[in-house]
Amino acid sequence: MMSLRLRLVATLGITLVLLWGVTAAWSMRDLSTRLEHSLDQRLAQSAHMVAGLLERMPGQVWRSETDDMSTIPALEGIACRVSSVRGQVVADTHPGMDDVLAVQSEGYSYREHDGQRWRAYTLVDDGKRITVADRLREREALLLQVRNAALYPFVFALVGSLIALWWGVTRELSPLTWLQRRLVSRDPGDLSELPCAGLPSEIRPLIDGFNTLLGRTRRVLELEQRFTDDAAHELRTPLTAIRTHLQISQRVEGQQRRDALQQAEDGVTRLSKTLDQLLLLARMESAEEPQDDLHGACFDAALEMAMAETESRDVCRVNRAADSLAVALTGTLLTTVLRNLLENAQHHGEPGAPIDIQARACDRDAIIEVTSRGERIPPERLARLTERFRRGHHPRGSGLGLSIVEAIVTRVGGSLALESGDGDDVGMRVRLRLPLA
Amino acid sequence: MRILLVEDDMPVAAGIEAGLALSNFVIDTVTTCSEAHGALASFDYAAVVLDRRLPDGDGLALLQAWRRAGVATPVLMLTARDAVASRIEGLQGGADDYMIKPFDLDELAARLQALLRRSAGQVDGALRHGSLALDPVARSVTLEGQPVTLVRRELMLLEALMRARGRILSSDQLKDRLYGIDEEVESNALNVHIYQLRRKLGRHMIETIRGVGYRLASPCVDSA
Repeated sequence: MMSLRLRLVATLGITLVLLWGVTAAWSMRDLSTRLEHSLDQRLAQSAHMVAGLLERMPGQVWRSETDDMSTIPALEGIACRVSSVRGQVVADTHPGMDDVLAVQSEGYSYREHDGQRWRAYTLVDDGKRITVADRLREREALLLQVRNAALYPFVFALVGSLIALWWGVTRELSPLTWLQRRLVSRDPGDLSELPCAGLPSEIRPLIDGFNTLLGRTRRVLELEQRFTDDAAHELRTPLTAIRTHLQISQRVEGQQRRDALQQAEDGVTRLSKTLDQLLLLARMESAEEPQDDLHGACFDAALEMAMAETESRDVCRVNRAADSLAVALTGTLLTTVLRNLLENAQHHGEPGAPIDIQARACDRDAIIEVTSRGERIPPERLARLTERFRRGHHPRGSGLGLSIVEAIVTRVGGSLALESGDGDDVGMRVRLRLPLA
Repeated sequence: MRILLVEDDMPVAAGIEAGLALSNFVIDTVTTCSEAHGALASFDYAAVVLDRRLPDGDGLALLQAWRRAGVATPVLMLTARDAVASRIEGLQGGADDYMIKPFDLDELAARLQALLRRSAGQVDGALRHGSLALDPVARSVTLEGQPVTLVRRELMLLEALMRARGRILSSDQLKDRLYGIDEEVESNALNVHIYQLRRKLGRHMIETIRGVGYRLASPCVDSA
């Protein structure tokens, strides 16, 4: 791809040269025609002037049969002959130039003498024949002079225009050059916005688009950075507990030692749980898992399993509107979803308070609601609860539970909604919409 | 030496607490920024071990607020973020040292000792007072080159007095340095430790300033 500057200059330059050239050729042609025409006119006028002068001469000069001929001193490039109609020469500037000056017919003609061309004009008037001639070399020299006089300013103006064109295009494209330099010298990690002040309006949309893209990249990177930080924190904290307690266990004895080892083991359990959850989340968010194994999971069985795993059977109040719901998820994933929701309700809600579970079919979807009692959560915090590692204000749990639920539900085309504080002491209500199998 | 530990993760806090107690530190543990702020305002801590991520805010922001308010207590920051940029950020934010989780307990104790030494303007690892020398890391005391055996609290009491370098410390200040918030202290416990120290190091080593507190006698008086 040719550079924009070169293309602009080439297009404009060629157009300019062509237009100027055509104009110049046309005016030159016009000039030579006019010059020839006016020189011819002058030739004719000279002939008429000579005729006018001869008018006053006595008549016998023309009628006498003498060979009395006056020779007029010649001027370079101009010739003149006056003769009678019968052919007797009365006056002559160039006696030897018969082939130019011995013209019979009246009017303009081109003649040749001695290898040189002449333009002749013959006037027949009252028995006299007057022939005037210009040498063409003089005419051509004059035309050349006039042409040169016109050509130099033309060439000067053309070259000047081309330079001005180059300069102007360069100048007008300088914001692009500036932009290019700025982008090249930029730190690759620099995601700050490019300033668009002072840029022409054609480039501004480009920069705006670029800045929007930068902004989006920045947000994605921030999220990634936060995720990395969060993951580091969630993995390193139990690791720290394990390491410190193991170190302590080497220095103390008896019960203290057993306590320290127990703490280290708790740390291992916690670490492996966080790891399992992270891996599950990663699997859910990537497209690795085949989708076609979703034969439908029985809600009741999954709920039984989830309640058993979270030991929450005593506080759960299950309200089924449909006899048996089969949801388009594998049994394991549906159990994971329900277990995470129950754990969440246990951690968020008041200890020992009942957890309401509702399930019903609606069109082709299953609606599952898990409601726990407790404090109202402000909407801005509620909206961020599904973010990874967002733990609310309770230190238990990894903060991945709701993210995992959301990932699983979204994967099969369902949705997740969080509500808080509407109705009597609803701490949090999670509503799942899952397609039926 | 009494240290404030700000860490919200209970297993980690318990580990650090137990580990530093083995190195003769007295630890008060708090779990939030606001508790940390309150604790630092009410007690005189030799140093603070501060976790970067706390449930009610950023530990670094808390530290910056302390530094702006003129709090000079040495702070060792703990964090799971190992990026160089975040370490630089922490140090520029007013941290005196920075450790990345998971860390070695001995290293934490050694770094705390180094912080205390530096904040006391001390070059050598050992504290010296005349012919008396105390090595906080080795937890050994020598008097005129001869080793002296001290129990844990006696050692902590002597260390506090030696770090004060002749300044008078009140009974409350000394108790603060010797016992955590939650520890029950018997009313005459301090007197017992002072008595024991005097018995082991010589009667004139510790001066009682009536109604004010205790201090180490200046070395020339000691030798006289």
